[in-house]
Amino acid sequence: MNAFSPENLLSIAFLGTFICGFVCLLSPLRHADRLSLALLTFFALMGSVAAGVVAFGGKTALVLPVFVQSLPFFFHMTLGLDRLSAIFFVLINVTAATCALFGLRYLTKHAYLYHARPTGFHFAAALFGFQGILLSTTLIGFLFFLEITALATFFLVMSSRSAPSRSAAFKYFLVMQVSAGALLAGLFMLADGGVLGSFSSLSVIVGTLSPIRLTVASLCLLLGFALRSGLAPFHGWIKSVEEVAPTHVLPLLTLANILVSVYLFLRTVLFPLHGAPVWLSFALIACGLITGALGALLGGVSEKMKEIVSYDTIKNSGVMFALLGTALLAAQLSLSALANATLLALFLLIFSHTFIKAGLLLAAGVVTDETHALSLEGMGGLARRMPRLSVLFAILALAVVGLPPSGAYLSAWAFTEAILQEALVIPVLYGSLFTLTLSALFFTSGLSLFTAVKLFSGAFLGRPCSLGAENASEPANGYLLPILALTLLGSVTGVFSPQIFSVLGVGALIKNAGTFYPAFVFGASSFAPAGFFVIFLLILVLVIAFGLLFASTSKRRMQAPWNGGEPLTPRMEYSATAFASPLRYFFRFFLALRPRRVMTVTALVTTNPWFTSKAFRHEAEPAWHKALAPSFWKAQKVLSGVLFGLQTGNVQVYVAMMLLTLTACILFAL
Amino acid sequence: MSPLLRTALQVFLSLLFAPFAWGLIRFLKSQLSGRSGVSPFVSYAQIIAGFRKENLIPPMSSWAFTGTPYVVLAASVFLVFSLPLMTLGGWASPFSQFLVFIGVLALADTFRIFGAIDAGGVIGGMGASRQMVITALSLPTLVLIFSAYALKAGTTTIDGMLMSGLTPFGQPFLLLVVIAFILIALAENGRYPVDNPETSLELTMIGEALTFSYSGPYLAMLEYAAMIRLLVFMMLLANMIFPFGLLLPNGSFQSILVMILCTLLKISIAAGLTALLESTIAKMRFYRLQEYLASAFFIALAGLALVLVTEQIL
Amino acid sequence: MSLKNLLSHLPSVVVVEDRTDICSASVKREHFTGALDELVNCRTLAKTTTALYSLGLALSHLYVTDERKAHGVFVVHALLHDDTAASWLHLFTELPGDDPTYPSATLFIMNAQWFERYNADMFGVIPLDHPDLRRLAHHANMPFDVHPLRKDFLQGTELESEDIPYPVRQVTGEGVHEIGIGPVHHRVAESVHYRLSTTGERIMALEVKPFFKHKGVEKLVEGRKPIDALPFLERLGGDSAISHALAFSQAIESVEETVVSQRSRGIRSFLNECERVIMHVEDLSNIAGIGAGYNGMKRGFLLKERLMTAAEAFCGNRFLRGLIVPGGIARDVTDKEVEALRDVFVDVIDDMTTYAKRALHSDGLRDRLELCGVLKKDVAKVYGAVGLVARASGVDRDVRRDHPYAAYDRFEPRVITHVSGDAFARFKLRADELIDSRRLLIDLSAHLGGGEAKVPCHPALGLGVSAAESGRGEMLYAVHMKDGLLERVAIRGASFSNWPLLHELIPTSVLSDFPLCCRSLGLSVAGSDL
Repeated sequence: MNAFSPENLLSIAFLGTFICGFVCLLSPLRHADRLSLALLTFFALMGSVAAGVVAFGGKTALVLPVFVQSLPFFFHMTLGLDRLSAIFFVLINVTAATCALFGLRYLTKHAYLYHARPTGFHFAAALFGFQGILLSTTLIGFLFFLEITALATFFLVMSSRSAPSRSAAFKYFLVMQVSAGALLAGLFMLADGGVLGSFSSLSVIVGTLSPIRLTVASLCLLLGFALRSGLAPFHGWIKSVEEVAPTHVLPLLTLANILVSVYLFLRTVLFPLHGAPVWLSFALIACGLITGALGALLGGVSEKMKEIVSYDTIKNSGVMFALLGTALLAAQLSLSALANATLLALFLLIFSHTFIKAGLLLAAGVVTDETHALSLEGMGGLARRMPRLSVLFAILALAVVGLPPSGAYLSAWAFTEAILQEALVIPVLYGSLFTLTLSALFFTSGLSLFTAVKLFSGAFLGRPCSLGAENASEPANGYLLPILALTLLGSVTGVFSPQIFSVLGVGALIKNAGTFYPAFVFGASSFAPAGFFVIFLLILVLVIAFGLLFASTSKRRMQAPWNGGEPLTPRMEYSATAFASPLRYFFRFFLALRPRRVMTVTALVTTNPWFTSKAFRHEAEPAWHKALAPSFWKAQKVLSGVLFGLQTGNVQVYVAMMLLTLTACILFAL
Repeated sequence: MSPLLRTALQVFLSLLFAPFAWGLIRFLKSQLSGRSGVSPFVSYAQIIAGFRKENLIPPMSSWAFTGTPYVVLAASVFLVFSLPLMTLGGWASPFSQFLVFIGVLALADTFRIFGAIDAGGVIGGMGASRQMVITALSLPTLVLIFSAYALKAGTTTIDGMLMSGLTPFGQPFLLLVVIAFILIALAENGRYPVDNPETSLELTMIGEALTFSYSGPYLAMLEYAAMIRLLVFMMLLANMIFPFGLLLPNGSFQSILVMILCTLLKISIAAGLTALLESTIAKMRFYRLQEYLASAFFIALAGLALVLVTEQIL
Repeated sequence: MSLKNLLSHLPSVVVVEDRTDICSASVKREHFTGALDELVNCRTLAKTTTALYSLGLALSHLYVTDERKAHGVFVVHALLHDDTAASWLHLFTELPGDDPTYPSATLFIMNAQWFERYNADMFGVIPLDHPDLRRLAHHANMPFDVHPLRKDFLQGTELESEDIPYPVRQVTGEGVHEIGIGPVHHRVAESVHYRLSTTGERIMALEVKPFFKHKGVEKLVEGRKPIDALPFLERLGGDSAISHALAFSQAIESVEETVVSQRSRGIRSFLNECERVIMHVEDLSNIAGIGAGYNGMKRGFLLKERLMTAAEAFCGNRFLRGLIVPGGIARDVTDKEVEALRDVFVDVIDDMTTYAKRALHSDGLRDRLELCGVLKKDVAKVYGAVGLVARASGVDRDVRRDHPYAAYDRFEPRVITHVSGDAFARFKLRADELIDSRRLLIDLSAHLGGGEAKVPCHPALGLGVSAAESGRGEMLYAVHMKDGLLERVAIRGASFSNWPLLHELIPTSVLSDFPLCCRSLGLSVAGSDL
């Protein structure tokens, strides 16, 4: 056997990730944390290359022989990759590698805030766990790694040891444990108690289950997926985690979790479980669409940069599950063309979203750092101060909403084509359902276009709104390079997706596979993203040439915007809050549940009867919020305070906690 | 004639006619309000003069401000390049898919907004916020409009839809679709009742506010892009109602003449109707737009439902 | 109970002169504000007096005269409306020249605020404890402590140019930003600076600053003969030459209670109505133009042009200047001329009424106008709103009826009020008043009356007060004469009272309604920026 075979490389990468963590924690070297991050980058890239060979090379399975023998006490789990898990493996590892690269500089700069060693250890452990989830082929192995991930990421959330981070970590911990418990319970029921079985055996068992059992199991799985991927109404954790956790681990915390739950869904429900109840697909579609619309809307009316990015994550997670639901429904109705097309749309979205969103998360972290502002109101005018980052950010922001030829656009295109070709040949009820889903998805995209434009223009365009923004400068290359890499990856997976997907095994949907711009085809229509890109670029170049030619005679002069004769003050710039005001008004009914402000008006002159008649106090806080919020926050504060005690780095405590949660999960499941 | 030649002809004629169509509306509007009005050909002079004027750049602006006119104009040119405005089955007809059309519109709107905000003024930002909401809420409706058409015509390219020869006179669903399309076209081009293209009141502007800080060549480019976009919507609408007078793949040289005449006729009728509309109705309150855009959305949805139901049940 | 009786209840108030139209009373400065508070807000008086005065009198003007040369004092004058007796209550107090302060009336009376700020600018008379004593009328290049209306400030003094920015009030908070509009607009509009604070479409606060083109007319006319001052005053507001001239002439006549002939009074009323019609036609067209589209506006302007051409044929200029002089009218006009003018006006009113009706039935325009810029009745009263704006909110006041002047005692105008107080009510009220003006024009031209065109009127000493109702509202003149020359002309244009209304109207309305709302108030800068 070749020493550099994918199997060996994968084993080394997997073990290496594990070792990285301990290097970081225990090594006597002074810069062990940086060494570990560098090693992690290397191993993650190595792992993704090996997995890429699997995914692109057409091999269906790859077992790690070392582990089969060496881990007998882990219930004889088998570790390996097939094409499906390899795709996810590549995505997570490449993202993690860029994040680790980013972390090299980030942790040095924020040494005062985060303890580099434990953070590095937890980072490695989380990646190890995510790799393990994708590698494991049995239910129990998968659950074991799920727990490792949950714990490691829990400590990552708490890295800054501040009160809000503890509170967020507590929320995160709860979500992850309940999700793990629900998934475990659901899978137990599906597997009929056989936790050692492999995923492929599920489909055999499912056929024999009673409908009630199947229903309960599906409910449990739905709950598990909804929690883990932040579907409404469980979307809160994504927002709170993205606000407090260190920037370089954010993609791992949110994107990897979403990826893993999509993977699990494909693994456990979609492929083996065509016999699942139809309402499950309906529920998923509804859940996904509501989450998508809610995420887009809340992102549109929010002003904090990281909050907007996380709402967009929530929106995309919703869209992914709506697509999953549609695929499941199509499979249940035996519409294989629609199911395949929807899956293609899903994968296109996953590819571009993972890279683009990881880039956006890192970029948002950099901007927040450089300007010392959380809100868009404290930014503005950064495009002049950090031109390179601003170009990257613009590409990321426009790609994430799906302007052509991004991956998100192709995904929407593929989905639309598939539905429009099927809608008339299937029963009118389903045809209507699919077209409604389509319109809801585009409604969501419209709103998220709003959000993306607001995000970019609020932060980068116009005049600086704060001292921090005024003094900001171009971030170091250590920050820019990972973001550049992610932007390139995201763009390439969009523009050259036909090439990528033709290798991944959807060749039937690709036309002109060998040429420079192959196209996706559905029936009679086809779309070549690279062709579009080239033509548009050509026209743009022509227009620029035309403009330069004819505008050359005109003189350019710097001139402040029209001020109407009175001097302009820094306050005279449209604020991001104001930008969203039409949206706030148009959707006021949907936003009414948000807690509102209290307004007090006092009279300046008490003797003037007119002044005194105008004094009032107005509270617009919803009653439910007023009643429930204090007790809830108090309980959360106390519990998270208890959890803080665990953050001392004791290995025993970790193990105890892991056992505790596992027991709790199993108890819950039984 | 070869497809490339016909597409080139379409691009040339569209770029040529766009200022005329724009000027014609202005001219007819003046006539309707009892003024003699400026000649429709003044808009050519307006653009040419723009290129000779001084170009004022806000000192706070960045690449977004400078790049916007180019991207917006390129997007408009891409539209006349890809869409079947005067010829069917052109060279770029595979790119006349409606999602490409909508995507390019969104790209152009996005950059218009970037340019407006980047100038750093308050009026630009206000227009940007309003335009963004209109764009965000009208593009999904455009998807529905073309989805209904596509379902019936069996293709997602606008070229193929027009080639299918459906007309609103035989197809009730198309009537709904055309109504929704008119509503969206008015909103997307900043015409009454959504926006007043000739307003001078800063606080009520939408489209004008976006170009508020531009001057000279950049303003000329943005205005030219808006004229082309208006022509695109006019011709698309005219072709949706009367899919005739288009240059066909087997067209002779006489048919080029017929096509030019038909195009001018379509432009004149569309301009006349727009001018009539703008002279008779009041501009809407901005906050009433949600009703306007929602009704467009539901009319389009009704069109879609009509297709589904008539095709399957009847 | 008469007004005099009522005054006797107030501390230190002494009635010094009691004419049919003006009742003058002096008061010590420490009791000045208290007396005003009692009269306007009826604090304790309501118990002791009959219901007649229990609603309070309205403060119409608060101005200062500099009498340091003669008596070493500044005098603060307050003019109050006494509608029930068709007269004015003139309350004044003397402040020592070296300590020109008195307790601020703004502490009790809302519409005293701009008067007091104006007086502080022009005379350096400081109202103590005034909540907002920023400069009002002075431009940024005016140095501090320069008070141009003081007698020792000479006309034509060269001042050093300063740059003292006006401290605009700010709303703080995240996401709140300001929109500054004007004073230089990119269309034909008067110089006003509006500063809006907002978090988007809805306006949170507004600060309006109209005084950018102060002309110093009050100073210019001092020491002139009334007939020499008239051309300055007629040109204060381009479209309100008649009402300025009328109010001024009547004030001069009231100093010595000169009686003018029936004929000149008839012609004065006729001209007053003509001016109101021109203003209404223009405002209706403007509102329709902003609300609906330029179509209606252009047609309205065409009609206005007809009116102004007819005015030019009638008196030689398009603005009806030079006709009204103290003592009557400058030249007797023939009935034929009047009838020719009337025919054009009646014709135009008929056309405009048709357009207005069409506009009122247009859903689109109604939607824009209704609930736009709602002025509540209590706001209108407290801010001392005048004219059509007040009547559209249900305040039943019209100088033509309450203080009948010219021929309005013979031809009583119909005073129309609306309750809703929005832009729609103001639009409709203008259309309604046009119809009433049509009736008055026909009646007046048929019964102009007889008599001399002009009687001699050269008062030597004293105070004259008079008001005329222009299209915008009450134009108030208070004239102090000394040795047959003008000692002080205190002018309160209609818009001076209506500008501050914007501070109440605009907050909570939306940005795109703002121009419509302003336009529906029909405010003039020139007429209030003396």
